[in-house]
Amino acid sequence: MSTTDTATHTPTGTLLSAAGITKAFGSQTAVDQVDLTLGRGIVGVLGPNGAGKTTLLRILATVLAPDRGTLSLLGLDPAHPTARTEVRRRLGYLPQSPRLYGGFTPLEMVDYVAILKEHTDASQRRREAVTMLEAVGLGDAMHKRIRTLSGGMQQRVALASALVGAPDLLVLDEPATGLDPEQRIALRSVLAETAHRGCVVLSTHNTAEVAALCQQVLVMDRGRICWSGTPAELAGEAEGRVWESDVEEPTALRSWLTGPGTRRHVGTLPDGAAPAVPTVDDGYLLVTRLTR
Amino acid sequence: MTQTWHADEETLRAWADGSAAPVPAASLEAHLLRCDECRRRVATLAPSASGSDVVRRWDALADRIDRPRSNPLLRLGLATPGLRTAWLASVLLLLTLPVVVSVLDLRLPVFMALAPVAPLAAVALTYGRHAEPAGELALATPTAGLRVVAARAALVAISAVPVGVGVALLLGLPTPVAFGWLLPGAALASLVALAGTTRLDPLVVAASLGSLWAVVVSWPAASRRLPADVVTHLVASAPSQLTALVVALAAIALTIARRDAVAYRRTA
Repeated sequence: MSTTDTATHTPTGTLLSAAGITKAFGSQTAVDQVDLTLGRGIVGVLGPNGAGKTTLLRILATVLAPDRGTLSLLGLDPAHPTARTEVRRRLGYLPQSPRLYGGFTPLEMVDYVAILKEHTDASQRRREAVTMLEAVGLGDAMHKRIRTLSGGMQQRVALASALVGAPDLLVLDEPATGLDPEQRIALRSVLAETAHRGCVVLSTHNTAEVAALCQQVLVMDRGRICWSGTPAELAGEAEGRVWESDVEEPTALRSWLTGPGTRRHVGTLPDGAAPAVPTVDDGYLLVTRLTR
Repeated sequence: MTQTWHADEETLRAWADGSAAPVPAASLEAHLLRCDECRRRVATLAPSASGSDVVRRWDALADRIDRPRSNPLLRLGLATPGLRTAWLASVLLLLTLPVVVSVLDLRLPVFMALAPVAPLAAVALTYGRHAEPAGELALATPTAGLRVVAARAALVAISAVPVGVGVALLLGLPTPVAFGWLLPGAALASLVALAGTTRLDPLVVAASLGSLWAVVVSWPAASRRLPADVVTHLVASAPSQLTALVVALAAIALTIARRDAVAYRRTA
């Protein structure tokens, strides 16, 4: 696993490292022997449903204890209670389904989470809550009840709660769910600020999101990390191995119908076929198939 | 008396569309009764189009009920209806129990059987998954786990204990009885807190322990082996109280030792 250096002017220290992290639920191994070393920047965890993304993120967010393996978050071991509390003071976490209390307004919810994060000064807390809600585009809705907001807006309330307190480690499980393209761009600039000083780990199953949001990609499949690199490198995996035609191809590892009605294939390029320009999507489909 | 002031446009508008706070609104209404000028001006303002009065008042009421507290302890403890219900239920039980006991003059040691159950129920409810307003997000904060449960339990204790003891004393229950439920209550509540660090559901443990306690305390009197006041004084006696104290301290110590199980879970 490589360490990404996203800040150009300072050397990157390791902010998050994991060795042999394993977590099983009954006979089902959700996370299997994962090794990670991450520095500053935005890292996207990509993978099919059930690949173990959420379990890995919950472990990184100190919500779930791994069965085996060692973990170091911001240089601290979350297995020790004091160190874990210290990590949580510098941690922001967005769960996959946040389930916030509908009776609060967004402002009250972010303020409440700030209390949980031990912010004692009430007026400073309120100012920060307002700043965070404006950053996620909820400036106009901060006094409405959460239960009256749309799913995407509720997601952004949870995101603002995760961002409160300027965390050095941000763990976001599908942060772009329910966001429109414009809001996704806004999210990128919010995350870039954290990525400048700390580490952002986010999960998604949308390759376009990874290309738009992340400097590094981890592809997860069946509990393991099967590929890592930059989004451009992921697209590069399909270089010379993606093509389009009107018929089914026996040499293709995967084929799918495209919008205009032609078929797109990844695999061994047949003789005479012209290679298409690869996308992150092609690379992702290729590496998840090749590692099986 | 002549008028020396007139309400400004904004105040009149807030009153007309119903958004004015109750006290300024009442003050303005008193002024309107005496001031032709302001009455004329308010009549020119367009009536609000924001739904019926009933809807508006209902929303305002919901607003007041849901409004979070500024005090962090109150806010942690009473943030949602679920938490407020737990708090209110324990206070009400301790408020009404001595009254019921003294009015009905029961043959059973009802007070001793039920009063210790109130703190236990409150602790069980503070563990409830739906009690946390921020859901799973709260687990990744430094306050997660035992600290937030302890804050909620402390809030119940601070308000419910004086109510229970006070009402019992006011109604003339003997002092050892009025205070005698505290340590058994603390012991039962601590056992529920301890259950919260295991795989057991604190609500199930609370229901079982509460029923067990009520039956054990009521049984000798119900089966006419011992009079109710003898049972009550037995519970209030030094050996029983000491046992309860030891159980409570041991359960609290074990809970603190096992606090990781609440804050750093091994299961989904």
